[in-house]
Amino acid sequence: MKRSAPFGWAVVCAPALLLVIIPLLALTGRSSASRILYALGREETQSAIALSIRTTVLSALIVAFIGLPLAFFLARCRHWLAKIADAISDTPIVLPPAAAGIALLAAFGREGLVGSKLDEWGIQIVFTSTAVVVAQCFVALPYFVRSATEGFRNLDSDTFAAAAIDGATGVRSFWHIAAPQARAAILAGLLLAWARALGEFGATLMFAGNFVGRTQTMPLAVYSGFEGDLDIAISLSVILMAIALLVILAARWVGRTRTA
Amino acid sequence: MISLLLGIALESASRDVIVLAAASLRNPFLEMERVFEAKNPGLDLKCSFAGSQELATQIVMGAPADAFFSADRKQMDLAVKSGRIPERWVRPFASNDLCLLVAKRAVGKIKKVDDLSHDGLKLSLACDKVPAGNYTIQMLRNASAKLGEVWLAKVISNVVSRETSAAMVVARIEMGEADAGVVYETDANGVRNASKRPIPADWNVIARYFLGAIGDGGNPEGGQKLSAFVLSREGQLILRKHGFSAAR
Repeated sequence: MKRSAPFGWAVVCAPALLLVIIPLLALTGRSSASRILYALGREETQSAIALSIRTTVLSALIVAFIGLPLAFFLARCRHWLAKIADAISDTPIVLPPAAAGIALLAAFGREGLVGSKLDEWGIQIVFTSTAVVVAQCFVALPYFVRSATEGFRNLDSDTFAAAAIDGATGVRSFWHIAAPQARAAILAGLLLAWARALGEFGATLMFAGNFVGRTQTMPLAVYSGFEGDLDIAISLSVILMAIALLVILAARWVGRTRTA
Repeated sequence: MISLLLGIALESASRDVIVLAAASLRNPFLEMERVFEAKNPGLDLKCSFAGSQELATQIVMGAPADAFFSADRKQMDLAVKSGRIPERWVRPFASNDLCLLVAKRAVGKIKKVDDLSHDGLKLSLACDKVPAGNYTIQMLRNASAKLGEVWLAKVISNVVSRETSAAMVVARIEMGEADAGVVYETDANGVRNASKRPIPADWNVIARYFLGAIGDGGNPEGGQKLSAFVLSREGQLILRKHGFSAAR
């Protein structure tokens, strides 16, 4: 009975694990080092990778900058408004990316709610690399906010109270006590948000378009490759898969070193 | 009992006719579907609309399908080369001209093809992997023979989006994100927020549409029946009603 238990678990866990493992292995099997090298040599691939790096790093930084105060507020505030804000900031996670793309167009398009005002000032977002960043921030924000909020919730309340008694103001105690203590959760959130931004596809396609060098990020190059050069599509998919694995491992590792 | 269920499943499956049709054929084919199904009570059309190259890829990769309606010969040839469409079943069935579609906000600035080179315009074109994009480039080259290489370079530098179908170009213009684009005559009908401008006949490129029933799908007879219907007087009238011209 005792001996069969692990076997039993293996059997019941297998479907879920295989569902993830088989496609990942199959994807690797479709590829080869020489094909990846060929794909990496193509100008289209290089510009997609360069654009992806530029935009996702910027998006991750923006998300962290605007997300930190929100996360802190959500973690420390018990007001019902905080609960509503929490739900709102989570919405992009469950919103279908294509719907997010249309929503962004409705907001920032040339004839959109905000976009028409920007257009009057000569600022246009749609079809530019800026649109790529906006789409990435939109979908990545909740991942950062969730993780950072969790970090702030686990703060040691005593030190915090002590700091308040010592006369530390909100901003000071945030920078000197809260942020360092929640560092691991913030970093993990940053990594997850960056990875989500890197994988962003649907909203980018709708909102930013699919233009080589300007808005064609790696996932969009995978999509275009599927219609043109399958080697590029597969190679970029393998690279994105490898990055996804590394990010998940890194986020785990960052989280562990702090809490241990 | 099981064989009975299986029998029903097989029978109902064989009644479906899976149709892969170029995105620009959506409207006439939705009407075609109603008329065809009324005339053939046993058959149920299942239409999938997308860029022809996407559909050709699906056929080459073995997607279940019974008939292919392509917006150009090249994608049809790919499907024929894969061995799934017998060459002798391929027929031209319609043609379509290109035209300019200009967003309301830009109608004052863009009156004809020549104006596409003006500074600060935002153009949306179909990408060169789809037939509409190929035709567009050909048309622009034809025009540049008279208007010059500099003109062509300026037009190209005004392009802000390359879409995977002419229908997506229409959406970009309808939403006001692009000032103008090149689309099929049939796409340009009844678009809100935009108006149509003709392209001179000696530059224009005619899109020739080809059909072919698929030999190894679930219902090749259904595919052939539909092909015959599209080529019939009744089918051609529906195409005409939606702005398509006769096969040329």
